[in-house]
Amino acid sequence: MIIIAVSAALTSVSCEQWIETDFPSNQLPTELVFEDEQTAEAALAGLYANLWNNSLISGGSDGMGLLLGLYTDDTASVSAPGSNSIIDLYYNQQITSNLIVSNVWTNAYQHIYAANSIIEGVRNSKTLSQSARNRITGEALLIRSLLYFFLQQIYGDIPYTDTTDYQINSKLSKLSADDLLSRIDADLEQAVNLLPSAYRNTERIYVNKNVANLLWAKLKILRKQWTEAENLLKLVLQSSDYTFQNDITKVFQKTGTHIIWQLKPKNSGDATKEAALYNFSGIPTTYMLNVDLVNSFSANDLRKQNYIAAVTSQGQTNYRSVKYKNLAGANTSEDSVIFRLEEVYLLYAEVLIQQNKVAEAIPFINKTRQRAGLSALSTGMNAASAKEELKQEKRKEFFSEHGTRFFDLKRWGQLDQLTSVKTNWKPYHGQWPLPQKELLLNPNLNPQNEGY
Amino acid sequence: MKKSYINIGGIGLTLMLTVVCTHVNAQTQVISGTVTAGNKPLSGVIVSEKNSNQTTLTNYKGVFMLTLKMSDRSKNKQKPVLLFKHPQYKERTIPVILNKKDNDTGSEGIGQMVFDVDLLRDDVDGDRGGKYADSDAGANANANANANANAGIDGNNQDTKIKGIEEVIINAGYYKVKDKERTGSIAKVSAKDIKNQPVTNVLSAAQGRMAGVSITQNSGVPGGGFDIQIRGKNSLRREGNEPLYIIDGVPLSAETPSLYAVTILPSASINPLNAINPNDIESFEILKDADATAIYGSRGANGVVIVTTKKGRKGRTELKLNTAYSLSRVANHMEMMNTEQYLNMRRQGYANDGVTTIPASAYDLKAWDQNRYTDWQKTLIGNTADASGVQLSLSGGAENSSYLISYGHQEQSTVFPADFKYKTNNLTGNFTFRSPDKKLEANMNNTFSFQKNNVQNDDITKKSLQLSPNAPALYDSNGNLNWENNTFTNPVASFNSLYLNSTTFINSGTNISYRLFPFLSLKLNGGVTYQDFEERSLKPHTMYNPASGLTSANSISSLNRQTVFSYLLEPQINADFKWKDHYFDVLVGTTLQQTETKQGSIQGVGFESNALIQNLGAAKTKTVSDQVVNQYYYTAAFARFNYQFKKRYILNLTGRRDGSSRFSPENRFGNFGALGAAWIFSDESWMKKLSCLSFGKLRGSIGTTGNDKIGDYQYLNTYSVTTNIYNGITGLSPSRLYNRDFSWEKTTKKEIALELGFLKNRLNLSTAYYSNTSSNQLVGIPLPATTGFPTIQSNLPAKVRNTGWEFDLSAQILRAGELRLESSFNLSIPQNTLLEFPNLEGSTYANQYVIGYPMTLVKVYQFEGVNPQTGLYSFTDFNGDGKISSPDDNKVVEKIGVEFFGGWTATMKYKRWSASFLFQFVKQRNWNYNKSMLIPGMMSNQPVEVLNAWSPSNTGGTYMQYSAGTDAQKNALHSYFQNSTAAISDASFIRLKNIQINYSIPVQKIGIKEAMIYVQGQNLLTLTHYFGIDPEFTVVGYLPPLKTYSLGFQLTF
Repeated sequence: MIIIAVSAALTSVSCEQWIETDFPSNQLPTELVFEDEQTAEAALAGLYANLWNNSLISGGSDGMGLLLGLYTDDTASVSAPGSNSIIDLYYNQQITSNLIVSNVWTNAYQHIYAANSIIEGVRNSKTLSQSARNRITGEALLIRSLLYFFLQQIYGDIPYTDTTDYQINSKLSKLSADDLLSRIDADLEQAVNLLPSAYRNTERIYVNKNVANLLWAKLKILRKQWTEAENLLKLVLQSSDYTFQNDITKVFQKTGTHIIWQLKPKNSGDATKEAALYNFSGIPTTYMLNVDLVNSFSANDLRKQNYIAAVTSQGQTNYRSVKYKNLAGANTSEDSVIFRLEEVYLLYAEVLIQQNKVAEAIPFINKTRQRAGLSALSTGMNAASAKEELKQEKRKEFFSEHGTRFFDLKRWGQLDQLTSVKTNWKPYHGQWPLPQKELLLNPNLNPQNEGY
Repeated sequence: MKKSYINIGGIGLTLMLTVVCTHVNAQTQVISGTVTAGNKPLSGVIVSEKNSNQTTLTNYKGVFMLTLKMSDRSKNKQKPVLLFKHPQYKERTIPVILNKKDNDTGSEGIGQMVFDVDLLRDDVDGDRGGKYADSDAGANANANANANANAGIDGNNQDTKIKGIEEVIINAGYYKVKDKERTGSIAKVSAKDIKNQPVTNVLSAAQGRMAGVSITQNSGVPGGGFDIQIRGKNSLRREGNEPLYIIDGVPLSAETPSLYAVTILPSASINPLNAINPNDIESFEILKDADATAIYGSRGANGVVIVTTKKGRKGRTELKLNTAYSLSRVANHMEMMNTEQYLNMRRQGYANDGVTTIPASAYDLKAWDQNRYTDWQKTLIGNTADASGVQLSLSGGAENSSYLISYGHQEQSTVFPADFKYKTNNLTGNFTFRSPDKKLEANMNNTFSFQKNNVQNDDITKKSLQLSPNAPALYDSNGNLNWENNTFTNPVASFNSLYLNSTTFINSGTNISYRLFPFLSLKLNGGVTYQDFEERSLKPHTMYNPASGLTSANSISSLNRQTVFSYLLEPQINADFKWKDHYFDVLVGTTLQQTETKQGSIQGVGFESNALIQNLGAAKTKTVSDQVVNQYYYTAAFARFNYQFKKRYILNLTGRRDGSSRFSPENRFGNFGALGAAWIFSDESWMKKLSCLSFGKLRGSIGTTGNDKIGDYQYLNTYSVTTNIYNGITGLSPSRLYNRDFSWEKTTKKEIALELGFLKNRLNLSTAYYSNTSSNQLVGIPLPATTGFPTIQSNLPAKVRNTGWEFDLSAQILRAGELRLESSFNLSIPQNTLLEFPNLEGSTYANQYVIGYPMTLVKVYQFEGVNPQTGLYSFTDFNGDGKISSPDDNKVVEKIGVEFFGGWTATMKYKRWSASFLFQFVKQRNWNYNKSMLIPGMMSNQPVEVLNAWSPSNTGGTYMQYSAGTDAQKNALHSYFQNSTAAISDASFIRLKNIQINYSIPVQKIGIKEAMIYVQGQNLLTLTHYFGIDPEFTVVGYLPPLKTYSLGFQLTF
């Protein structure tokens, strides 16, 4: 027994060192990441890359462009429903355990965590310069706000967090739309103040002050604060950084100065996710444009040739979106556009119409019309007609781009008009269900959204 | 010389000696004799005279001859003592009584006496040999004693009852123990139980043979994993339930983590024992209770699997050739609808959904031949897989050294209709050296194995069940993949993709011991393990419909490589000494282990041509993953203290102090220990009257063990390098939610057992009851997505208890002449209960567990059948809110999992024939096919049971009215159905796991030692009511275990 005791005592002393491992070469202590601008930048790059990869604004199958396009009347599919996944969204029969409903939520909060981790890291940093602090915090804040903004409109009441503390985050309750939007409002105000006006890369692949202004304006519009929205939009419109792209063939070219923010594909030469996603020849195996959308274009609308391609095979003609054209390996000219000046024009028109300044608004609708070879609208129409024109214009200009159609119809209370095309559409479909798994893991998120 | 044998019919470890003393004179005496085991002569037995340097070996006939020098002896009246040693049997010492008269006269001993020695007892004398002959029917043991007999064996132990159990030597890892004196619970499978079986992993052969050990094969695709549970699940994590694997003293990393195999191998799991050829295994032991596992401390919570490879034997050089060929098919099929039934269901589905114009995308109705029929199970998984194996081994040895070299090669194809192969090559070598003074012994075991697996990327079992029976042909008339004008997602297109892996595995274990003093030995156990695992996933664009417009620019090639290098040093001191009736055996040792894992992968997209797809350098874009280097350092001090009083009262104390780098510096060390005790009450004098009871032992143990299987560096707060790149900058992402405070998961184990032997141990019964409680559960606690991560590593303040009964019964039923019949039966009744869970209601497990229920419970909806009016499923609306929703309505607690399991085996031997069978039985509940079926009426075939669906003319149908999947309400109902009481049912089965017939061809006359031909069958018969393709599975939708017939031939020179 003595031997045991002695040997145990001996080994426990000497063995402290024996089991001291090296720090893993592929990991970096969190506190060190934010003591150096390069590595802090890499943390931010990780966030941007994930936005491109699988976020709400990704151009791929995780993004709102496809999901809300299918959900509304932009995009269609030939597949049958019932697998509790993406196709059930197209048929408007998603249930609470739908895989996509859960994925979108999970990915978004993962990115929100990454943003919060960056904000906290920078806050705790001792050596980072003030300008780097401001910019990095501003970018992360803006990205976080953008995610919350879209999440709120998809899911309704959602939880908000600005910490990485899992003990808090695992017990969050939902915030009402009003509470949440005012939080984002405050965050965006801060982001606008922190972000520099200049792009830090001429390709406009990082957010700057004007991106914050635009998102803030969108928030103000949602909150019906027309004058604030108008002023914010004006800031973008008046910026010398932007000029309207008059050549319809160059709308999705990354060098255009009408671009406000775009995401760059992972490797040079990589196609945008959109180009790969909507591409097919022969019979479509995945997605195609909704016939209703295709029919909404007049024959002489240049967008019908430039944004859409007809594919005929075995006696049937189907349509695909060709906004992005370069396929894998050969893409040097396209990035995935998140915001472009056209949207600012049409939002500005909306804000003016809402304030009954129809005559002032019409020229802003005419810009994209005229670029598409259509005649200018008369400035003499009434607000209702102007709004209708605006709605048509937005659908044609922004189909399959980040769920614009869904958000517009939702904001205008017109989602139920979808029933003419989408037979399963029910009034409660204005919100997706909260993922069942999340309610189970955090009962504070109850109740489930109405209807589900 | 006449030989005679006693037929003692033990479990293969009976050793008999026939010693014939042929030559006696004054100065020297030559003793010769024959050593046998069972009724076979035993070669390679070292026979020596104690305290002299006289040593010899038995030859292939078991005969030895030893010259004893008598002159020295007469001086001190010392009796000569013979020492018999054989690696597989217990050492025997036999004192020889020499007839004084002969000794004195010095005349040459011409007389002979044949005396039988039964090594199962410590002694034998001539008289008793006769008694044995009387009692053991058919034993050809009449002592052919010559009247001039002048030598005998001195008996000093009057106990003649016990045999069998005490001589079985059990490998408990750090020490060996006689089965009789064992205080812990250790199950053993030895080579003869599993030899020549048509399996590539020993776990397949061990299924059903050991009480308390539940083994489930994940898939019928070769090269995959097993789910092995030793006395139930202690941990909430799948990988946290893996046992510790020790091969020849060296611990292996558990599972090989694969990145790409998940679509073909369930849970992407690859079992480490795939690297060991089952025919190279000498014994396979499983340590179960605290007494046996506590010496493994922090790694012993889930039991320890100890694999010992075969060793060389001293004696004549032996060359063994073993070849086998086997054929396998999927054991079970499901009866699916035929074309007419299927199309009828589809049309009704649309009609029920109110769809009048069937859409063009319903190709089965609109485009495909309405009369075509294919049995897709037959076409896609119905092939016969063939396998061949050859093994060549050379062994032998001299007095002080021995060796064994074995090479094996196995090749196995799949049941898929394509040319896929799993190949293994094994080279093992064992070398033992012993110094002439027997103080130093060195042993080295080397295992080298190379496995190569080549399969498609996806398991198509699910497709074989779901594909429309009228789906078009797989290939067109030119032999190209048929896409039927882009209407058909061709299932065999996935054969254009490949999953390849290769594993190179080297394990070298060295064991050196030096007897410093007669009572003290120094030992060093060391080992080096190196594993190189490389896997490729090749996805050329040709696996997709050409209409999708893909080219080789979209082809993807991925390569992942992982190497693990580990070394181990375990210096130990072992002392044993005896004082009167007291016997002590003490072991003290330390462990130093370092493991370094390196892993990295590359993905290449876009190739000029698919011909270049294996060459990642040719890819247009290459993504190089994070290059991971993980270090796992581990240290421990351990000790064992064994005390025996009068060989009847045994106390065994084991302990270990462990330190692991997997925890933060403040939580690194932990103490584990156990106390075991045994009382062999049959040795008490007052028990001797009970003549039918030949052996009786009561034993029990209590102690704690731990579990540190949680991955490396989990306590660090870090950012990791990712594969994400933005604008040329490689992104960093938060690695995890971190928690510095987690520590060991601890399991307290208690056991009490009774072991009884009746009728001279011809009937043995062992009964054990155990109760293990795991606390401080180390788990990734599931978190809501709002935390940014799915889990956080933490010690969960929950207690899980595993209790159970284990019964082992073995009997030698018949021994008549050359006919023997033996049988054994084992039964385990495990029970798992969640005992405590503070704040369960508020935790993230609130809807997963219920206190007082097993952890395998699931909460489901109560299925109430089909409403005869509406034809829709109905479920109990527990909260009465008028709709079915979770978690308020899936309130029914269903226990899935095993209720009891076991096996029954019998062996029969007659002359040159032997035959055996093993039945495995499992009583369990599990998910059935309703869980995985798509909604009936969709474009997916269904089992014939679904024909009984509701329709206006069949309002009593058990399935809801068919639906083409276009109705949201029905889809929702179907999803509730999949998670209702209807989707769980009995999954019990009885399986004829193995049956074999061996025949030993009489070839000894032509100089061949042994020639044997054997026929084996694996999984030939399964009796089950299970609704689904096979009741043995871990994850639904993969290829079930196969039914195998094999024929083999074994030749020994």
